[in-house]
Amino acid sequence: MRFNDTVLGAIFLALAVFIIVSASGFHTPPGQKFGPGFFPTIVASVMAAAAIGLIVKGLVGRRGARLVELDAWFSQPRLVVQGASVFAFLLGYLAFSEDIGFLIVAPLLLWALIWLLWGHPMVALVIAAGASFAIHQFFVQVLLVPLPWGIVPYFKLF
Amino acid sequence: MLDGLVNTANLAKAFGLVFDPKTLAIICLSSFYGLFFGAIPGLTATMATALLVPVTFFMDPVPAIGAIIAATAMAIFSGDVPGVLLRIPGTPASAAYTDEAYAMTMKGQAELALGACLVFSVVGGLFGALALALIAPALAELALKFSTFEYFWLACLGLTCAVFVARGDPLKGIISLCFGLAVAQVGIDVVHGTPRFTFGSISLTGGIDLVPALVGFFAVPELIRNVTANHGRVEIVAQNIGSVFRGQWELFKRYPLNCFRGNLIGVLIGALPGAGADIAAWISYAVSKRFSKEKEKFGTGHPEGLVDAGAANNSALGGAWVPALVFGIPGDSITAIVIGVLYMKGMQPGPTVFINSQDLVYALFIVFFLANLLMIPFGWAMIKASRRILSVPREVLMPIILLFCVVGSFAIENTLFNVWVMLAMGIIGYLFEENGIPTAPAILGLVLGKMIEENFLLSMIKVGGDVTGLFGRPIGGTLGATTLAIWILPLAWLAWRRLGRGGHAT
Repeated sequence: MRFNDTVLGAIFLALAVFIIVSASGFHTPPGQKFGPGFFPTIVASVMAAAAIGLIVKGLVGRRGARLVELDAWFSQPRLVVQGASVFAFLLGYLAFSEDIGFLIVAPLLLWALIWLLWGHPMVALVIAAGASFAIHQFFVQVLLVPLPWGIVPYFKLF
Repeated sequence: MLDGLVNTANLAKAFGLVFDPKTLAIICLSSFYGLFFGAIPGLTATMATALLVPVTFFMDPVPAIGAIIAATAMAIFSGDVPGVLLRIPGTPASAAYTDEAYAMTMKGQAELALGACLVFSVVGGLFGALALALIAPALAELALKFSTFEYFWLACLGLTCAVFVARGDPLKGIISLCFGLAVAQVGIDVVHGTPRFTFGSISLTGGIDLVPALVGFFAVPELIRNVTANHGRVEIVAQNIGSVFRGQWELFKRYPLNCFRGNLIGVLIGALPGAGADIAAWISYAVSKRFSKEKEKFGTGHPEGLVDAGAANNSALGGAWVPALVFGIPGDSITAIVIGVLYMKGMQPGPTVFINSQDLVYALFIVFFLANLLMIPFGWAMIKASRRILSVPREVLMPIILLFCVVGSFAIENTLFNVWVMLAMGIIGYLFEENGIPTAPAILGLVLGKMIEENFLLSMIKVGGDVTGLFGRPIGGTLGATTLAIWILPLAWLAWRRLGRGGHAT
């Protein structure tokens, strides 16, 4: 998604204004000249100046240009589905991993994604199961990271 | 104290640390990992580093740093291989001379091109290691005199460089930098203890964790780009690859100056904050063409530029470590990640690390030399296996890497919140790149934000809130004046030019 410089500048200007307004509410300890709001205000002021520069540049440079331009892949339904699948994968993991468990959610998501991108559902299933299990064992056994077990009963191979 | 002499006891200890079987095994494994990541187009050395961080989190300092050094050195070399065979650079650092290398392949000189990439990568890497081992301790001695004033200005200078060397619109560079600095301020403020921009969330009071932010910023955009691109099946045109070392000595004898020049440009560009191996390769390739006696041969499969640029991108890696280790200011996006790792390992970068952890610093230098020497056999094996490695379907790799991103982000603090952070930073990183906003300044801002603010506020408390006090010490004053000059001069020049042009028009 490509924004015109003017739109881009406006977005960052809004962010900068938000930071400055929030920072003005931070309490400065008595007797000190520079409180917790000082540095964010400086950073946001510089950001605001650059954003205004970008807005001006956008207005002067390309009059009549479109405000937002979609990437080329948005016109190809297959690529849109593939792009969306990355987010679906992440959201799916975020939603279900704790309750259902890594060892069920990860292979299923991985299978679906490899199947979608590559095809070959049976080979994809084997790869997905193998890769998920390898990553699980590496993190749980070697790095001692408590990946969520969910409804899967706890076990230890080694 | 640092007296310029090598402390043999610490050096022996460092050798012991590096040549520990477990450490050696980790270095070898990360070398293979780096070779693989570099060779697959769309997977970069920076991404390889970002994905290694969650794993190094659980290691001792020397294997952790060794893993990153080995993986990045190998990845920068192996990025050349698909350039030679497929005309697709494996990492951006190889893009400068991909056309040249592929033209050599088309002339039937694939072996010579691959060999040159390997040999001059090794030479460049060793030169970078040597430069790091010689320059860093000497600079550290100077840096011992630094206080919060100097560090404040140095960080400002570093961030300024990052904006100026970033490709594209400097306004967007500034915005990217400010965005990184702003993200660094989320959480409890280090000096006053006030929660800032936490929106009442307990997870945000600890601030944005660097690791999921890095993984999101560097890995997710590449993944999105990969799955939304149409890849045709790639065909390797090269004949069977024979002896890659044949003819390399002749090449070295013919272009010794090029090799040295590439090394030097690499180290210098690498040390410059914000510019890394890719910019070093572009510049040294351009310099090579500019001063060549056979300019007309460039672009037709001429190895001269490969010697320059192939050495430069590997020596840039060592160069980038110099400011990272001595001042805590990263020379490129890889060392920006490394600084985060050094903090996690209790090796606070800065001149004192050369005194307090001298054995670790020596070990780091040894790993640098070792990794580049290992590149000779491993690189050779990689070239031999390149046909197989390049035929691994990317459609299978990308989902597995995505799962690894998720688990890696989770692993640092064992919370799903960090997976959200990765997702959010991934979307922002993708939009940044799509809109021509450079990502390196944002990462530098994120890494350096807390340090700049802390040094500024502590300096201010020391001088009782008088801003002119920032210029009170000789080194700090000089650094401050230089920084201000860099900020003001371009603006003044622009204003003068505008006024001059206005005068002409009327």
